Formats: sequence, C-alpha cells, structure tokens
Amino acid sequence: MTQSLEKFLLSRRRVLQGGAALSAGALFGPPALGAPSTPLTFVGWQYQPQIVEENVGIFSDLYDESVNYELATGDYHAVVETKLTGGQHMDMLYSEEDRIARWHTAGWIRDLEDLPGVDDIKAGIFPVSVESLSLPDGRFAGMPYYAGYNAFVYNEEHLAKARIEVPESWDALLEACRKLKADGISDAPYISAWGQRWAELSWSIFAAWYSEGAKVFDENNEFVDEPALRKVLEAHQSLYQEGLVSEDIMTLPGEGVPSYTSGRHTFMVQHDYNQKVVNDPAVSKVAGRINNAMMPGATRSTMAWTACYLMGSQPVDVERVWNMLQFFGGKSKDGEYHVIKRWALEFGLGSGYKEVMSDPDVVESFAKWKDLEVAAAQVEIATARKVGKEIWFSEWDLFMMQRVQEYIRSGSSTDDLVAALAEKASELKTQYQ
Amino acid sequence: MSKVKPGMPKTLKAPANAPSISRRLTGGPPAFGYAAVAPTLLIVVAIAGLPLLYSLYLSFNSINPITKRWIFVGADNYTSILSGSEFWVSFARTAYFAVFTVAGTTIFGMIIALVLNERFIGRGLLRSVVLVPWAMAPVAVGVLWSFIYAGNFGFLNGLLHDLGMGSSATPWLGNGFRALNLVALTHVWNQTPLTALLLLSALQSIPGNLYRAAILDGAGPVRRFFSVTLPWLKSTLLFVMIIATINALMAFDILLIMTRGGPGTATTLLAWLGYLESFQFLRFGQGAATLYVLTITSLALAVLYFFVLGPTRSRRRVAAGPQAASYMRDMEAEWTASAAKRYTMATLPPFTPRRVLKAATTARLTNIILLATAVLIFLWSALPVAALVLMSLSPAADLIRTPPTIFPSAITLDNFTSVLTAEGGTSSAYARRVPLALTNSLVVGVVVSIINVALGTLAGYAFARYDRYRFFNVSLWALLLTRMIPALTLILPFFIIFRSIGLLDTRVALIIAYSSILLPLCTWMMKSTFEGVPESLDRAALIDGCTRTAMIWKVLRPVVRPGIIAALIFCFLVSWNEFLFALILTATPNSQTIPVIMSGFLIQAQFYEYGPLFATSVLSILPPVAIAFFFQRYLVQGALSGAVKG
Repeated sequence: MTQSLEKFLLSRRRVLQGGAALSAGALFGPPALGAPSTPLTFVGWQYQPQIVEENVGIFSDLYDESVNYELATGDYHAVVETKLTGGQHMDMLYSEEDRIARWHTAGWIRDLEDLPGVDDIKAGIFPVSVESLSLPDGRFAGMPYYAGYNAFVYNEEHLAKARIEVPESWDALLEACRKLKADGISDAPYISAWGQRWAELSWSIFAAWYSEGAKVFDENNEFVDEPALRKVLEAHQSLYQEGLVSEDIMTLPGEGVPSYTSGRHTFMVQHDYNQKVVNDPAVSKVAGRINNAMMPGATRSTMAWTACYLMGSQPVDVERVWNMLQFFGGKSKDGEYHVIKRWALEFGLGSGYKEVMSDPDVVESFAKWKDLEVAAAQVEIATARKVGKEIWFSEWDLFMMQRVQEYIRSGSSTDDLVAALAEKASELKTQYQ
Repeated sequence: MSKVKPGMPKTLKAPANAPSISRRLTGGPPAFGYAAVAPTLLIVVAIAGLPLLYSLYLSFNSINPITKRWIFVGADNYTSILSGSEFWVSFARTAYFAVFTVAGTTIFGMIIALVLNERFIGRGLLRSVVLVPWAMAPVAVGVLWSFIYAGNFGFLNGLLHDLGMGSSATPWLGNGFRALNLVALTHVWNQTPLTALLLLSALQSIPGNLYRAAILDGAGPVRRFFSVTLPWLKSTLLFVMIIATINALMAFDILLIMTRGGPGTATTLLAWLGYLESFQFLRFGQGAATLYVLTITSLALAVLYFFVLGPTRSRRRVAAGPQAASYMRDMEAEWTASAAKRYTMATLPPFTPRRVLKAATTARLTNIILLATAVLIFLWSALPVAALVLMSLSPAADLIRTPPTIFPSAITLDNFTSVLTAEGGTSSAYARRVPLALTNSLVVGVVVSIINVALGTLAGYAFARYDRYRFFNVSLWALLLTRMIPALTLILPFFIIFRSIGLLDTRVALIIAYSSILLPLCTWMMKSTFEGVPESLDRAALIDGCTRTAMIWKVLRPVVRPGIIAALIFCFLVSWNEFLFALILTATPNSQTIPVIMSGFLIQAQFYEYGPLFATSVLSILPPVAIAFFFQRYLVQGALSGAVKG
C-alpha cells in the first residue's frame, strides 16, 4: 500500500509541477465529482505547506471530499485567535498542545472523546502524547500531527580537537564552551533558539529547566522558585555575558539552525528533527559530524511536545471532519499512517504513535542522521509541559521570553527576574479566573 | 505648499469690470458641494468611522474572549497603561525612534532635495532612483535589511570581508540599542524619499530673483541657504517633520519583520506594544487604549502642525462669499505682514567680498562636491536594492556561505524560475502563490486607485472651495483624524464586519479596507491640488455656461492632471504595499497580496530557500519601482501642486 501511495504521491507531484495553470487549477478548480457542496475548512501553519497541499489533495481524492485549505501567515496562534474571536468557521486546525485547553474554554474547538475508534487510537499513542493532547479533565481533544522534543547535539570534530567529552551538566557545558573558545575552535560554541517566537526560547529554556530538574510550575500550576530554575537562568546569562554565544542569537533567523550548519558552533539545543537538516550534506557544512547526546543537567530530561489537529466546535459534518482528522493525524481508511509516515520519512518528524516510531522504514531513515538509542533514552525521560493546559499560559510564555531575553542581555539580577515571572503568573491566574 | 507665490497677489481682488457673481455662487455652498463630498463622507463614516468608534468603545472595556468576560471599565485601561513602567519605557523608546527618524529623514531629505534641485548630468535618473526605497513595501524593506544586517551570512558583513575588513564584521542586530538605531535607520531609508520629494517641490517654488539678489549682495552658498532657502522652506519643513513623526509613531511592519520588538524589549515601540496587547494577549481593550494614546499623540502633533501653518493656509483662500470683504481685508493685512517678513528675510549685510578662492576654482569645487554628493545619494538609494537583486540572482548555497561575500559564485535565474513556474523545483507553496498574489495586488491596487481618486477629486474640489463653511471645515478635520489612527485599531472591527457580510477573503474586502486609509488621504491631496488653482477659472467656466460637473471635467481636470496622476500613483503604492489588513482579511490565494506572501515566505522558507525569497522580494518591488522610475516627473509635479502629502 505504501508503494502504491508513493506512486500516487509521485504522480501527483508531477502534476503539481506540470505548470502554473494546472497547479492553479488543482488549487482553485471545482471539487471532485460527487464531493459535498460544503467544503471542509482546514487552517494550517507555515511548515512545508506544499506537502500539506498535496496531502489535502490526496484526502480529497480518496474520500471524494472538498477541502478549503487556508495557510495562515504570520504569528499563527495570534492570527488564528483573532480570526476565531471574529467568528471565523474552522473545521480542522493546527495547534500546539498549549492552546488546546485555551481554545476549548473559549468554545472554539470540541473534544474528540465520543467519536468512533478514539479508544483504539489512544491506545496506540505514547502516554506522554495522550496527556499532551487531552484537556485538563482528561478528555481527548486532538489528533497528533507530530511529536517532538528538544535534543542536545554536538559537533564531534570540535570535541575531538578540544579533547573534551560531551558535557553532562550545565557547569560542564560552560567549561567546555570556555575551552573551545579559548582554543580558537569556536568563537561561539553554544547556540539554541533564543528568539521570541513560540517555538524558540520558550521551548529551549523549558528543555534546559527540565534537564536540571526544575519544575517551573507545580501540580497546582503555581510558579516554583527553586535552585534548579535559577541555575539554568544563570547558565544562560553566563553563556551570553561571556561571549560563548553569538551576540545576535536572539534575532537569528531559522531558529539558529542556519548558523549551526555553518560549522561555527559546537553545541546546540534544537528541535530533534533539525538534526536531519544539519546532517544533510546538501545544505550543511557539518553534515555527518553532528551527533545527539543526552541533555546536560541533573536529571538529563528535556521538554517534549505533541503538535496536533483540532476539530472546530461547529464542524459542518462531524463524520466528514473526523475522517479528515484521522487521515492527517492517524490512520487513513485503508489502515495506513500515510501522512504521519510521510512527515517522518521526508522531514524527520517524530510521531506520537508507537507503531510509526517502530516502523522499519522510519527506524532505518532516522538512523541515518541520529543516534537512535540516545534518542530513545532521551524521549523516555522527556517531560511534557503540563502547565500548557492553563488557559493563561501562552500569555505568560511570551512575557517570560521577553523578560528572560532582557535578563540575559543586561546581566540583571536573577532575583528580580524570578520575582517578575512569579508575579506575572499570579496576576494572569487572577485575570483568567 | 502654496501655489500663490509671493509677489503675486493678483487673486485678491476681482477686477472692477468683472461680471457680477451670481447669488448661487456667493450665497453659500451649493448643493453640488454637498453632493460632491457626500460619497466620500458616507464611505469614510461607514468603513472607517464606525470601526473606529467600535475600537474606541473597546478601549473602555476589559475583554477576555477566552473566558467570555466583557466588563465596562471606563477609563481604567488608560489609567492602567499610563501607570505602568512598561508603557513609559516604550513611550520613551518610541520618542527616541521618532526623533531619530524625523531628524534623519529631514536632514537626508534636505540634502537630497538640494542636490536634485541643481542641474547636472543624470539628474533625471537620480530623481527616479531616490524614489525607489519609498516605493518598496515596508515588508520588502524589512526582508532586505534583515539580511543586510544578518550576522553570519549578511550582506554588510560580506562587504566588509570582501574589503579586507572582516575583523569589523559584527552581529549587527545583536546589541539592543544598536538594533533600535538600525531599525530606525532602515525606516529613514524607506521614508526619506517622501521628505525629499516634498522639499524638492518647495525648493522649485522659490523665485530665482531672490537668489540673484542675494548673489549680487555677495551672499555665498551657505549664507543663501540660511537666509533665503531655509526661511522659504520653513512651513514645508514643519509639515514634513510632522508627517515623518506620524509615520514614525505608526511604524509596525518593519519591526514585525526585522526584530519583533527584540532583542528583549529593545525595539518594542508603542505600536508593537499595542499589537502584543491586542493580538498576542487578546486584550483588545488595553490594546485599543494603547493605540488610542498613540493616536492622541499624533493628533496633538497634527494640531501643532495646523497651528503653525494656519496663517499660510489662509493665504490660499480666494475671496468669495458673504465674508469676502472682511476676508479680503484679512488677506491684505496678512499679505502686508508676509511681505514685510520677506523684506526682512531678503535683507542682507553690506557687500563685503571675501573670496579665498578664485571664482573658477569655487565653481569647480562646487561641482565636485555636488557630483560627489549625487554619487553618495545614488549609492545610499540604490546599493541596498542592488544587493537585493544580486542576492536574487545568486545560487541558493551562496547566501549561507561563511565567511560571507557579496560576490556570487554564478549568476542564475533559478530563483525566479522557482517562484514563477512550478517547474523550477522549489517545494514552497508560497512560491507557487507568487504569480497569483502579484495579480491580486495589481487588481486591488488599480481598482482602489481609480475609485479613491475619482471620489477624492470630487470631494477635494468641494473642500478646497467651501472649507470656510463649518460643515466642510469640520468634515475635513474629521477626515484628517483618520490619518492619525493606527491601522491596528481597525483590524478586529473590519474582520467582524466583513465576516458578517460574507466578504472575508475577497479582493472586495481589501478594496473597501484600503479605501478607509486612502479616501481621506486622497481627498486631502486633491483638496491641496485644487487650492493651487485660481477660483477665477471656475467662475469663468460657470459664466460660460458650464455645469459644475462639466467645469470639473473639461476645465479643471486638465489643470490638475499632474495632481491626479500623483494621487493615482500614491494610492497604488499604498495599496500595493499594505500588509496588515491583507494579513488578517485574506486567507487563501484567491485574495492574498504580495506582502502577505512575502511575509509567509520569510517565516516558512528554510534557509536554503532564501534565493526564492529574494526573487519574490524583487518581483514584489518591480511594479512600484517601475512606477516611481517612469512617473517621477508626475510625482514631483504633483508634490508641487500639493498632491503628495503623506
């Protein structure tokens, strides 16, 4: 079946590449014969939209459906929230896990708990992903788009030159960076995504906090001021103040990945799938030299997340939309994980499904660009961000990124920063009650 | 700018043998006046006024769309933001940004205008080239300068490496204060041409005999500048400074693309703060309040502008109507005062020749300085655009080389192929949307320009002729108010309205939304143009039996043609470059315009797709740049007639 689908995809790609007119026709032409007159609406963000378009086409053909695919530009969640506030109808939409509860509270999405086959689907998903995709009361609310975690990668050649081992703690990382810089091997040995977009500093510093054992928020989602949290903050401040990262790390494009491919840096905390890019000789100068290790820190944990497809609260037809959610976020009606497997094979995106991650094709593909044993060990102890289920969290998150950037840049007091973060969390909890 | 020049008070008094003016011309504004402004006022009230009132109402409420809580809080949002340190820090940063950009655009604009006012080979070309940065969309400007300043692969660092100054390569946007200054400098680069254009038109209105008299009195170039040029430009300078201030306060697109308010909060200006409050945090009430504070600041500056320029404005009025006699007395008094002022201005110290250099040497030196400055202006305007073109013609791999260099390893059209044809090999969905987005931008731009200039011309005529009547005066002020309001405040109301009438994701929605910005502006521009036309022309046509419509079409239209063309160009450029409304109101390729596609490209493109991104940027600037290039003559003429002012 996979082969036949690949043939179908290949032929479709050719069709899409056959000319602008044909392409436009595929995009804007009339729906397939017999397709329902009311199209389904699907809103997505800007990751590989050409693949999404192809998948939409395949779904429409296989299910004799009509789908309007809207590609949201700009700040995805802000744009979508504005449109939802304005009353735009959406049948299916992308989301990060930290918006599920928020959007459900707002009445913009519905849960999936009572839909046919949900129990089987949940049984096939890693527990950590099921938790991520559920509402605070445990109801299942999203189908998995992909599952990711922040991975610690290093340049083997740099370490060999400096004759140092992979650091296992944040102190050791700082020491290693100092030596690499002093030895002239790298002028900015460390890099990560420190920008203010939602997948940048937030994810990378939460990964670091979890790796050091910081809770950040307790079981009641109260902010926790603890030594591990402070240690990570101070390590980040030291990295910047000592010039161990590039001065423009907070405004780097592409989450810092382009800079890492230049070979300038030694260590990076990055989204796990980017290791495929940095080990791709077509686009990276350091291809083949980048390996993954366990995160440095006291617990070696990291942050894991599961992005998802959600169903709008007023779908045009629950059954049709459920079919679309399953096609994109699970098995197609032929029992295959077409879309999810494609993301894995072509782009290195991990999956929330156990079956996909143990699929021989996927295993073989992933093994080409990362150490699977280390990756498995890392995922095993990864931490999901439970506080993301608080409806105020996304607001705190952006505030945190701004303040942490200021703290890192200015070298200001950790006490002040931690107090401001705690105060903001408390203020938002009150506001959203 | 006044078209009634000093030494030409001929419109003040009607000749004794002139035919008497009928009552319908002097008894008050005719029905035609009301009919001419009615469509504009109705449309502006409907598509800008109501949404603005709605957002003003929002600013008095605490709204949480997540918890569905909506509480009227009166002025609490205002007191809350005004008592917060975050607001005042942003306010101070915004003030710094405004001072930097106003000073920058004014000084650079003045230098450019002075040079372009001289005669030298290539002046026409240079006049076109200097307009290019202004013709580019802020999104395209942001994309371009982001990659010029980029640390690892940036064009500027590449240039330094190529010049053997690699040790000076810097992560330009890394330092917060430097980032703020560089964003401001980028804004200056983008906005200076408008200032230069306005100052150039004012320079061209200075009578040559003033300079000749000054030369005869022995005044050198510096003295002539300070004693003749600068006093003459005073009102225009004040005007362009206020316009520059408003543009600085509203700056958003460049921030969104270049720094997003960072690093930290180093480039968080008030407009960005308003965006964060409104759209990132969904605090529509607080966001609206922040943006209305920005509006009030703009309005205060606008009032200052009108206060300062008030007397000049009244000079342009033509005596007619019941207040004619007293008005003419005022005019005469004013004329006497202004003549005395000019007399003072023209008074020069006794002739004391102090030549250090021979006249020929001075002339040669002047020419050298002039040409050197012209070359520098050319480089300032054209070099960044040339960099963009070069990057678009470079193989994708060249753009991520380290150490960087500006020299491509080969020249290729691959990037253009990939965004214009599906066979180019690019995988980006955005690339395939470029041709359709260009079409959308073109269609929307043309339709918006025609509609707004047609309505604006009619209304502009009426406002120019009847602005002494309360209704017209108040209406005009109300129209001008919309110029001071950030587009961010209109977005949510627009979205709700267009959704309710089924216009979301259509070109029609964009045309309506853009008219909310352009119709007041266009009316204002055309009013200024008609103010430069003697009212005696109207009277002559009416006495000859023309209807008012025929008079506008047959008699006035040819006279104000440069102003109309300038207004058309201006509307097209604003429409082509608009980003915020298009971002929210469009959703699919059916209606998405090119700035939206570029912004999406920038976010979505993987770093190995920078080539197609730059190709898209080049394609996006081609039409506006071509217009600026080929129609600069009309823009200068339009500015001279008062048509280009914002």
